[in-house]
Amino acid sequence: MRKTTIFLLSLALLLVAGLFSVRPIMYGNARPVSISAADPLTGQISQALASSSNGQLVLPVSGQDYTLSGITYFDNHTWAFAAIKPLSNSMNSSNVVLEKQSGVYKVVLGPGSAFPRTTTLTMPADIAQFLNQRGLLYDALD
Amino acid sequence: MTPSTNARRLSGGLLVCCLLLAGLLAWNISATLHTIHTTGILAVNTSEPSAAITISQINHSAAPIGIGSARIRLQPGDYLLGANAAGLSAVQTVHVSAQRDTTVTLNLAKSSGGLPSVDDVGFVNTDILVDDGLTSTQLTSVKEQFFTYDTAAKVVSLDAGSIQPGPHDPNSYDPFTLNFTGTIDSKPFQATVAYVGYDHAQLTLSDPQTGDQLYVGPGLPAN
Repeated sequence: MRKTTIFLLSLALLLVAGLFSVRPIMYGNARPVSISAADPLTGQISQALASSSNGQLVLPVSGQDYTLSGITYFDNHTWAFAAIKPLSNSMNSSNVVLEKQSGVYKVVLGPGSAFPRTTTLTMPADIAQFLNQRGLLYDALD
Repeated sequence: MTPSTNARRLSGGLLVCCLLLAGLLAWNISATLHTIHTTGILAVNTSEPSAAITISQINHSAAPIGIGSARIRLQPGDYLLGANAAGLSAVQTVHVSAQRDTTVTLNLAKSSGGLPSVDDVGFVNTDILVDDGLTSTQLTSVKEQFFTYDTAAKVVSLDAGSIQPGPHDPNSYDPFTLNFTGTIDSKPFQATVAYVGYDHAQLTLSDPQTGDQLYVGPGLPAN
């Protein structure tokens, strides 16, 4: 009887160990990553704000570290502008311009508080005008 | 209650426990196999060991996936990969298919995003135009006009000995002109820069072989 108890106890421990280790073993060194649904542009803007510090990855989260305001779309939603308002002291206010490429918005300008006028040369004129009207363009000194 | 009864009950409890754990383990293996069959592996390498690597999808939040390199499983779809490190960055779209391995290498560079910039163009011998009469503001404008003509240009090179001032009536308000030749990424051009005052310059480019006009910059202000 004692032998049976020891056997069952060992089996239970083995099963518990298997329960915790089966996923890491079967996945190898590629863990599954899932991404939650969020407001448009927030994921791409968080990516542009990401950094690493002392071996730690810092990824600001919309609604927690910052909010987006003044989101404006141009040219049939091909381009977009957004102002980033920080919710903590670890960030500064900044602005970004995004372009939809291959179905995905990419941050093509910023984050920055203002941009050299020359950076708008390859943008549609309406965005350059919009940035200029908001005082976000400056003439770089040679 | 005798010791043997206690031992029997303990064994019975352990047996139930083992059966439950075995069921959980079987379910865990089944769920993991399902995930493996419905996801693809994305391996990401970067040119900077300290690069923060993130991933996102349209209308989705971003997720951190690693520093320097990463290897993850994702549902099939289009994703945007990003990597940032000390002022350098890279972004790239990537498609992940089920049961397929996809490897991406991100080369981080100073220019962010993907917009070409006039700052990315190498200008050779253009400073000579200042010696021949242009202000630095006008030279900047000329460089921007070269870039506007060809935003993919890497090197704009002027033939140093070709710069010649055009005729100018000292009693008129007509703009001054400089004529010269050069190449944009080895493709030859003929150019005229017309300039007035301190701020305004207009670049005109033409094909030296055919004489066809290739580009005319923004007009100069009227006197």
